[in-house]
Amino acid sequence: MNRAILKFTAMSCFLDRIKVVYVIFMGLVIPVGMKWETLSRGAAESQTFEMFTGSVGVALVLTGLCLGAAGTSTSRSAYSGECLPLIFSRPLTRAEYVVTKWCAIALVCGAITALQNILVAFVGMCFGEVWTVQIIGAQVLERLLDAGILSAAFLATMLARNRILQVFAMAAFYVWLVGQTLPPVSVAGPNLPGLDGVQVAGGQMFFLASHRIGDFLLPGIHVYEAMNALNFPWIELVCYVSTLLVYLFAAVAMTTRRDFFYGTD
Amino acid sequence: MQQPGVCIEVRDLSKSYKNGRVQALDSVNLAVYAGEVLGLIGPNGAGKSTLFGCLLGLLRPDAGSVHFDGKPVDYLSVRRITGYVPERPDFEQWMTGRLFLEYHHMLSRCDPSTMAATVEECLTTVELDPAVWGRRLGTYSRGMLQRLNLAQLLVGKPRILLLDEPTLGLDPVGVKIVRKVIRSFRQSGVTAIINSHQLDEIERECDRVAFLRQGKVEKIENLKGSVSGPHVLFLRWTETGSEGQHSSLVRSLAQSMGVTVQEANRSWARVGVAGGEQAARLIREVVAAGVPVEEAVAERARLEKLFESEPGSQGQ
Repeated sequence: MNRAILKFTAMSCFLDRIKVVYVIFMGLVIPVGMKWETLSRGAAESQTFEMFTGSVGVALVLTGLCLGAAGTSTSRSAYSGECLPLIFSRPLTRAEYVVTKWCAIALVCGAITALQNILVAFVGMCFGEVWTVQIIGAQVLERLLDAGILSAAFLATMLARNRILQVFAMAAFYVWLVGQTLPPVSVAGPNLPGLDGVQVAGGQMFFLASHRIGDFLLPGIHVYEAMNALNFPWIELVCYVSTLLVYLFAAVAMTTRRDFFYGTD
Repeated sequence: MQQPGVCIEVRDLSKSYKNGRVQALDSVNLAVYAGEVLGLIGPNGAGKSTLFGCLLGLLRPDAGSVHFDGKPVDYLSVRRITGYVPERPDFEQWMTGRLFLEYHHMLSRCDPSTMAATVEECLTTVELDPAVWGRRLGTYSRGMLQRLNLAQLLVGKPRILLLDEPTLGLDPVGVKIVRKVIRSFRQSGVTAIINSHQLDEIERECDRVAFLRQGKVEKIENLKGSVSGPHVLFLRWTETGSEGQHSSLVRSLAQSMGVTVQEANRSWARVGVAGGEQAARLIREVVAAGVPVEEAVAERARLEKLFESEPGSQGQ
């Protein structure tokens, strides 16, 4: 773990004005504001709200934090605009860089989204909702875990600098997003005859597939359910840890193999 | 096996891009001796930047090796003693000048207790106004950023320097600072490679120069040895007398010695001489004739000539 990378990556998240504005709005103002508005109008919580306060919210905050690859000092080539990280001329291994970067981004992102969940709970309590320490604790831990796996996947994609892989990763991210935002139940309806029925069945299949692919690519752990389950969900945990390790190893391997220079894509 | 006295050794280094379609470096061999400053010149696309990338261990060569003090470049112990000035640094806009150097101080794994003093010393050496040390880099001018770029080189007191166009974007004062820094490193026996298009800079600061073309080292020139062959002698004097008096005197003395004045004006002349002895004789006679000579220096027009020659016309 490199202290300099850890410190300056975290600092960049809070001192880069554009990032700060984006993260505050996406991570805090919008979800907390939605909660407030929903409760003050006595309306039911929307799916968008669920999205902002869950793992999709973590992904949105992460996007802001990762823009500009927080904390790297680079040298821009005069010819093609590719960057050469000045920091790698310092005594720093690429594995150390990747792991430290992951830690810093995951911690900052996890902390922001955990804070968001706490604020949402606080707003809820102000309006008479019942929130236990166990529920809040479970949500905080879940956001940290979400931040951990999403940061690893983001880093692997950003550091690989392989166009095919990046296109694939973007597509996979959208599939995951669909699975997260539109559960198959949303398109469930009566068994319609003819073309309408085919359309509904097709939609259900698409969203179910998105959900499954999303779970495979970015598995999460439902902490509250795990806390209250009769048997600890070892399979969920093993899936989560193994996928996280795959992303981190991939990020280290790709960064180690990569040429850090222009014209080498 | 590394040659004795060699600090940087590049052996049979090859690097290609686009699946081998573009050969950036083709079996480059280069040895830089300890305490030596080597200039790297060549036309655009010659492979200089690729060579720098390989020297820094940021590019993976297709074949060959680079060793600093007998160790591969990607050893952390080598990185610890290597300083690099990139051509066009891209700074984090949110950082301040002071923070940027603190970052590099930490990355260099220097003693944390020396951080404040080192950062201050580096910023002072590059003559960056203390009023801007705490300002965001987004507000810095290009010249200020170049100075900061140079300041980060000083962090960690490197023993091996790789300077990529170190004077690019600097005003004359900034250029003087770069020279001062290089000279102070030189005095402490640091080994350096300077990649620059500023040929006068290369001539001024380097012991030898390597000319790269089409991924190969075409020629290595010794710049600090005595000048034996025909060359141009540049003479500058203080013009104190009536207009053009000294200029006419220099012209007539040169003519009497059978040498050609290629160019002259009121206070300087460029004279083509046959060799070092003839140059020394001319200087003696000009001084004896009462011309207040300020500067007499051999112009090594060979560097420009390297660019003019046809590819492959000069053997290594």
